[in-house]
Amino acid sequence: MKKKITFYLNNEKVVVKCHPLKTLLKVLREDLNHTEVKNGCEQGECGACTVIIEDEDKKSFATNSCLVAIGQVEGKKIVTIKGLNKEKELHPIQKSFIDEGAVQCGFCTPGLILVTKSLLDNNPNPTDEEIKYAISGNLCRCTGYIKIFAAIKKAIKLVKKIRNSKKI
Amino acid sequence: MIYYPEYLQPKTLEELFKELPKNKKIYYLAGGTDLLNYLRDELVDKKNSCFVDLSKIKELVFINETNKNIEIGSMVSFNILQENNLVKKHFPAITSMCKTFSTPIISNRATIGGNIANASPSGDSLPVLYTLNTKIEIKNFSQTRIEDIDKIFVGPKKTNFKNGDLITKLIIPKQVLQKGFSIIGIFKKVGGRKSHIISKASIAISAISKSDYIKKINVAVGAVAPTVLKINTISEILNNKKLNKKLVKDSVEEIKKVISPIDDFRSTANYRKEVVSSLFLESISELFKFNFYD
Ligand SMILES: Cc1cc2nc3c(=O)[nH]c(=O)nc-3n(C[C@H](O)[C@H](O)[C@H](O)COP(=O)(O)OP(=O)(O)OC[C@H]3O[C@@H](n4cnc5c(N)ncnc54)[C@H](O)[C@@H]3O)c2cc1C
Ligand code: FES
Ligand code: FES
Repeated sequence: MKKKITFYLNNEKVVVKCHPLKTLLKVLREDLNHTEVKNGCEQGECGACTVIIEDEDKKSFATNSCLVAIGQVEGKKIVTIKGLNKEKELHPIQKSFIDEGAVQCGFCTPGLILVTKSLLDNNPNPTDEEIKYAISGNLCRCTGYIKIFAAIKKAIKLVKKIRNSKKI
Repeated sequence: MIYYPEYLQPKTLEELFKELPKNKKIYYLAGGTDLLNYLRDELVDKKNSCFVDLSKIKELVFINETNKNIEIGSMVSFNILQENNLVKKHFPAITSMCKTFSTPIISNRATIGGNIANASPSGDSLPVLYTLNTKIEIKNFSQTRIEDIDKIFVGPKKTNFKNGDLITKLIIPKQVLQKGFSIIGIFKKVGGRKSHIISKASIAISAISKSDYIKKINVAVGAVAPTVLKINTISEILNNKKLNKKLVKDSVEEIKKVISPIDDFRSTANYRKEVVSSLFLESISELFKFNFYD
């Protein structure tokens, strides 16, 4: 029972024809070739498959795409790491991760950057505790998290600076 | 070819019960954080099942205050529950539980209804809901029934539900407070690591108190018996008493009595007894700001 399912991927309308119970992760990787969304465990444990979902009420949140059925995203907006940069201009969170050396093998990076984006969209001034909580569903087997934490602290400043300069 | 179960996505409850097939096993798809794992692991008889997606049914997402109760829709996710001010005010044990529930990105989608229906003895919402004397509203076609939460579980991962039974809401009684008294509550668990752990042992406490005087207290433990257990004998020991070390010690003895003496792949009976006892001491100490350890 395949069905036509329409949603928005990084601001572009896409239509896929597949079974509505196929996972969002599989559709992104297999049907749409968006392999920037990583498959680490397919059971909600690692966060490598994190995407941001914005629903009809404009509420957005980060979640594991391996545990979302594609039928459930009908009409919604999905953001992957590819939706963050403007052409060659990297997003400030991406820049901070590079500057702080928070990327080693890079497998966890798209997920961690997206949870950071989601955190800062909802709460521009998170405390250290709030940062640690926000990233606790995203595992990194390389960095030991210290550099990731430093990158997020830096990103907070950078995002604020850009927001302030836009206000002027 | 990969085979999938049948799939329905009703937009209202009325539509749901109009479309519901009678000859298939019904699986409601809420957040999917348990169910999609079961599907992937081939634990679902795909040919004879129908997945009914609840994600478009807005009627199931609400938190309302009535005269006597707070009512929570079954499709409320744990992150919404965690932030809700009515819940913070009336049921601090729920807020406490949400903070350690799974990971924040799972909490964004995992629902309270799914946690109850999944009926795992290590489901973290269950001991908390036991301490609050929660009632569950269940609908099936034109029938509606309301059951006490401790009546619906008949074993590990087993409820008394009939095919098609849908949890629509939770009904939790508000407490009437006399002057000077407040509602306190806490949830603690132990597992393999700090974040996203499945509980090896958990405890929930809800109480009405005035400094160290306890008007009413309820204690429930999770993951240490085939179903969650509310330990009524502790309420008998502590209700209407000024808390002291002797009473706390007697309560710990009651905990040890109820823990089922089985070893399984997660841990041993002795470990569980020790760990739940410490969880209780830790929780009571934190709630009443006094060290009851020694
Ligand atoms: C990484 C990870 C960490 C986790 N950590 C925890 C944790 O710390 N504590 C914990 O308790 N659990 C945890 N879980 C398990 C899971 O997230 C919870 O049990 C969750 O509450 C399930 O809700 P859901 O909305 O995702 O349910 P689903 O997966 O959609 O459904 C679960 C079951 O309930 C049924 N169901 C769902 N809604 C209804 C309804 N309204 N009426 C009748 N039946 C219904 C479904 O048919 C299915 O059988 C974790 C899971 C993962 C993947
Ligand atoms: S792939 Fe690991 S959480 Fe989804
Ligand atoms: S950089 Fe390798 S997993 Fe994080």
